[in-house]
Amino acid sequence: MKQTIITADVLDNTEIAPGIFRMGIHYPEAADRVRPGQFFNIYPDADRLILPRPFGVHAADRREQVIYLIYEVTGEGTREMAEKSKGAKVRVSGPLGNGFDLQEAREGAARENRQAPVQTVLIGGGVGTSVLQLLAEELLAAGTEVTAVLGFRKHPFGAEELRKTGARVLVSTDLPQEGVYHGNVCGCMEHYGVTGDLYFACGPRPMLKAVDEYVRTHGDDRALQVSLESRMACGYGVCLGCSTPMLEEQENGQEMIVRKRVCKDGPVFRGDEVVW
Amino acid sequence: MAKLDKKAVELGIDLRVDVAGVSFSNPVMTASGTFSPQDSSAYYDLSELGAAVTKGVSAEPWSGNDLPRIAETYGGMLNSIGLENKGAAAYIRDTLPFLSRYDTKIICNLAGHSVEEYVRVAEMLRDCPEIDLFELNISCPNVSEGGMLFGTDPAMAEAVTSAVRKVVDRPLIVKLTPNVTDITVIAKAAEHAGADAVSLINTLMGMRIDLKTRSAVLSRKTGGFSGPAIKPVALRMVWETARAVQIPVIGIGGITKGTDVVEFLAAGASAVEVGTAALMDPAAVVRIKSELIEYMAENGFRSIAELKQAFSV
Repeated sequence: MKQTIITADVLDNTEIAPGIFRMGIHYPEAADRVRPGQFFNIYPDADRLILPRPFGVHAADRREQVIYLIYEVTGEGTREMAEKSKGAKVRVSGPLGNGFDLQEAREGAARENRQAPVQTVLIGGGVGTSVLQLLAEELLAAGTEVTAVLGFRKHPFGAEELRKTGARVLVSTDLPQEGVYHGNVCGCMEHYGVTGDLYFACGPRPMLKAVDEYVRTHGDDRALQVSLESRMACGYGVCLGCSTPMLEEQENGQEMIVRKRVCKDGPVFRGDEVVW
Repeated sequence: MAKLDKKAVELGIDLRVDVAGVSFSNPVMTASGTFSPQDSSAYYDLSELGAAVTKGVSAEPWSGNDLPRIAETYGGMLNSIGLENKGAAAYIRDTLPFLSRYDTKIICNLAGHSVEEYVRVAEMLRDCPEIDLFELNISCPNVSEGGMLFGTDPAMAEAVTSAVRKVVDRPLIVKLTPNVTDITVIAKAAEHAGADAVSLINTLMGMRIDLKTRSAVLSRKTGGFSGPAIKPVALRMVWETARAVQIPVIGIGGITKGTDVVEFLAAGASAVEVGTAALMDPAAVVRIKSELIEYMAENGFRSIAELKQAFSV
């Protein structure tokens, strides 16, 4: 079965915070198999916009065969998406890329002689928080305890939906907001003393770098997986537009800097692989 | 005998073309840098291709340019990849064995910083039986040494072409840059130096500036402009070149649909390469070929030669 671009029905397209939308797309071939951390390419309708836009999967309704994406209107492509109403068509392809590796979390949680549950910490910034929903669902289903730390500039979104999964959710904002931590995600984690066995993060690169430092000061960043954002052209590995320097251990045990494609080899990498 | 397109055969259409003494099952090929055997094959059967033109390969691995390497433009895009590739040894080990499982021609695109480097990579690959033709990339605008530098000076174009010509016994295509005053001068220089065909155009030099960051979008400031927006320029250059040289011309530049191929064939191209369209739609090459067949059926053309003869351009 070859991969393809499909023309799918938009089932829902709601503004959940100023300039932030959640789109539900009927995509049976993908809803069954998409894993947390994978992404979808949305192909614009306008002829002048030629490149697909990549979006991490937010959630998947396996029964209704719907995938959900959360996006921020930042340019012409996302503006076109925001104008789509229920029943409109959208050209989409995916799931693409490798998702988060949940094997260690699953094995840890299944170990019989464990003293305490595996603690997983999920950290997101801005629209990067959107990928934590499906991730939290799967980590909870695997039997780990989940703490999600969400960071926003001003308007939080998605926290309630995430709480419904059973995760503990902490919210921080850069601009002071009633009832939430004022500051960035690392400040928030320090403030609440959040540490864990495994960490998963998605957001802007400066945030990921700070999270990597946080995890290193509290342990080892091999326990951290980050989902990198990158400008892409193809999204499926052919153009090398997103090829990024990474550390890789060679057969002789030495570390070398090699380039890896965020779209195809990632977008998820281990914290200690990334050349920060 | 190359694999024939089933749909074309059913319609009584012969899509085969001969370029530089090689017979291709159809005139639609990939363009280097927009195709990866493993990744593209997830979307279509590579045996559908007239030829698989692989990403520019150099003697040693190249790490390419810093990010950002990509910027979208009105109906097109800029790229500044910088010929990142894993080098000839990895090409021989990974790319060729994978590609040779498919029934298509293999065109190996060669990159270098100097005549010596072009010769070296050609020497490393000349004995690979899988390779049907070589395409000499003297037109990449995104490297500071070599690349386009060779394609903007007729004497240098001639020197590198004749040096590589001496090394390889397979047909040699020279890929030309449009960033010159008169592309036919360079095409003639390549022809004179023994090129069996020319392919054109590589990308046009372009630029974009970000008003938010107040700096160039691309890390290397300028990049190569490609996509549907450049098609008229490419078509004009193919037309000019086809009238100026005796060797076949392979048309490249902004092809996104079957009728674009018809235009390039009408302008004098013997075959075409499809590049940026593969970023806009991974299976674009196959769709474009299928649209070409539909066009030929609707217009009663039974062969590519018949189609070309019907136009007076």
